[in-house]
Parts: sequence; structure tokens; C-alpha cells
Amino acid sequence: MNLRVAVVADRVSWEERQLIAAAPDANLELTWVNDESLCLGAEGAPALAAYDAVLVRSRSYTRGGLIATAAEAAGVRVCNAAKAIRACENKLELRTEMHRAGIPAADHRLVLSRRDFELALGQIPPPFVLKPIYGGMGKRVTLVRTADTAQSVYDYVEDLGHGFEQAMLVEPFLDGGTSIRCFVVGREIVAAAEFASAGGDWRSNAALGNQTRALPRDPALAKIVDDVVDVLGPGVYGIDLFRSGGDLIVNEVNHAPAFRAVAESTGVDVPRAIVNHLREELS
Amino acid sequence: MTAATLTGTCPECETDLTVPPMGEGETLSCPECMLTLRVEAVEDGRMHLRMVEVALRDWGQ
Ligand SMILES: Nc1ncnc2c1ncn2[C@@H]1O[C@H](COP(=O)(O)OP(=O)(O)OP(=O)(O)O)[C@@H](O)[C@H]1O
Ligand SMILES: [Zn+2]
Repeated sequence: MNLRVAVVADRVSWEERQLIAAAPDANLELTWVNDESLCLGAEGAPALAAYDAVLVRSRSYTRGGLIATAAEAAGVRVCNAAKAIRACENKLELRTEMHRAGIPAADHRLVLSRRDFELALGQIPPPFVLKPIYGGMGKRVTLVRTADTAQSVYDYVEDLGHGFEQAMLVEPFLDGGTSIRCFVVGREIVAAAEFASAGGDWRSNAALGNQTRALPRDPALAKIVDDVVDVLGPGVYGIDLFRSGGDLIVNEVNHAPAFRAVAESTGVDVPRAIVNHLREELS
Repeated sequence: MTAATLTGTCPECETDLTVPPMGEGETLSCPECMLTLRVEAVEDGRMHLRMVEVALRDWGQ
């Protein structure tokens, strides 16, 4: 009998379509369930009663953790675990967890006001990066190269940011030009690729459509990823790292990672790895 | 049985659409008004479509 897994997301994108297609080979049946219509909270989570488990694929960084928390509370098996999703959604939370476990992550200052910002500038001089604590796809991640522009950049945070959007981090600019994306399933790195900025933008994340090349096996990378998985628990993660002066530093972890670019640049069958992992977790 | 094509009507501009087979949750963009439409359900080869945002403001990745 195929086990039934709800793929919770606001829509079926390329990744979810691949997962749904790969599922029968792992004796699973994956079905899209709209993340906007679960109305969780009631005993036993009626909207999810027909499923043996939930795969959270909400790309939204507000919905994922909330849905996972409520579903777990109702006794539903959830991948990734709520605790892991909550850590991934919040850049400060993630840095704190990494720090606690002794895993290198970027130095940072929490900036909630202009006063914080001014103090942060004194401690992390330009060039630095100003980025939202809740954010994604590289949006609003700003490289400030000189002190002259810092205050006017902050004007935009103050004038146009609402509530949560004003919660920012200041980090040193780790200049290397490339960032590494590790796609982790369970505890294993199934694919690793290096992204280089396409030229027109200093940012090099996958969401901005940058160049990619597959990375060979690297023991140092395997070690840091293993440490991150020790903190978050096994799951499906996109772990972004920087190489800075030879050292690897964790930048962020995505809990519902896209995998088109990494699958195409490495040839790895990522959907198969994910459905096999789900199958193992469920048996 | 999967139909060779599916049909539906854009809920915004009422254009009739014929598309290759798609599953629930997948999206398409209406060739007439360019809005992003999500397949809510498929019944007898007919899609029930609903307008959604191209991308949500809080998408991470
Ligand atoms: N401290 C830093 N030093 C150098 N480059 C950085 C730094 N922080 C961010 N970047 C660059 O900006 C990109 C986007 O930053 P970050 O990953 O923190 O934001 P995001 O919105 O979570 O992006 P995504 O979710 O797509 O990974 C990174 O991939 C990297 O290229
Ligand atoms: Zn239309």
C-alpha cells in the first residue's frame, strides 16, 4: 500500500511536480494540499486526516513554521520538523543556534532602530551587508561599501519598512564572489554546487539566476554540513555557505529549498532522494 | 484516463483556455490578461481556475 503524503504549498511549482512524479517509485502517493486552507488547530488536524505525513513545501517564510508547528501538535508527522523550519525562517535564530553549537556563522549585529544601526557601524565598519532577518530570494540584501551611503540606505528601512521588515542584521561583507549551496537529504549531501554572481549583481544566490558549477567532494564541507544537521535534525535542506579566507561559514539554511539549478548542474536525481528519505522516515 | 488537453475559463477576463494536461496546484498565465492562474480542481477535462499572485511577498528560498 502506498503511504499518502500531503505536499503542503501554495502552488505546485517545478520542484513539487518532480516530487509528485517520483513518489510512486518509493511507494508513496504525494498530493498537493493548499497551504491556505488547512485551518489547523482543531484536534487531529481534520484537513490532514487523510495523510500519513506532511511534506512542508510552503516557500513562504511565515507559513512553513506555523503549519509545521500546528500539524505536529495535532500528532501529524511533518518533514521538515517544526523546530528546524522555525530556525531556518529567522536569520538571527539560525545564527544563534550555529553559535551555540560552535559552527562558524557570520558575525552580526541585530539592528532594530537607527541607534542600533549607528552602533553596529562602529563595530562592523564598511563594507558590510544589511539584510532582513525575515527574508528570502536575496531581496533587500544590501551591500554598503562606504559610510557615506549608510544613513540614506537606512532611511529606506525606516520610512518604507513595516514592523517585521525593520528587523535587520548587519554583517561583515565576506568577499569571495562565490557561495556554496549544499542540498542535504536526511543527513547526506546529495548535491553541492558553487554559485558565482552573474556579473550585474554582487549577490550570488540561486534565486537570482546565477552561474553554477558542481563541486567535488570536500571533507571540510561534509564536516560543517554534518554539524548543521546535528543541530537541526535530519531533513531536506538547502545549506548556503561562504568560503572566506579558506574557512567555511554558514550563511543560511533553506527549509523548502528549490533544486532545479542544483539538479541540472550536477545531474543528481534530487526528487528520488527526497521521496526515498520520506519513505525511510515513515517506515 | 488523462485527457490530451484541458479546458477552462480565465476567472478574470473570461477568455477560454485550452492547455496540455496539468495537475491541481499548478499554475499558468492567462495569455489574454497575463494573470497567474492556479488549477484548483479538474473535473471531466475542465479546470477550475483561480487568480493567484505571481509570487508571494514572503517567499524565501
Ligand atoms: N555577509 C555577506 N557577505 C558577502 N555576500 C553576502 C553576505 N550576505 C549575503 N551575501 C550575498 O547575498 C546573497 C543573498 O543573501 P542571503 O542568502 O543572506 O539572503 P536570502 O534573501 O536569504 O537569499 P536566498 O534565500 O536566495 O539564499 C547571498 O547568496 C550572497 O551572495
Ligand atoms: Zn485572463
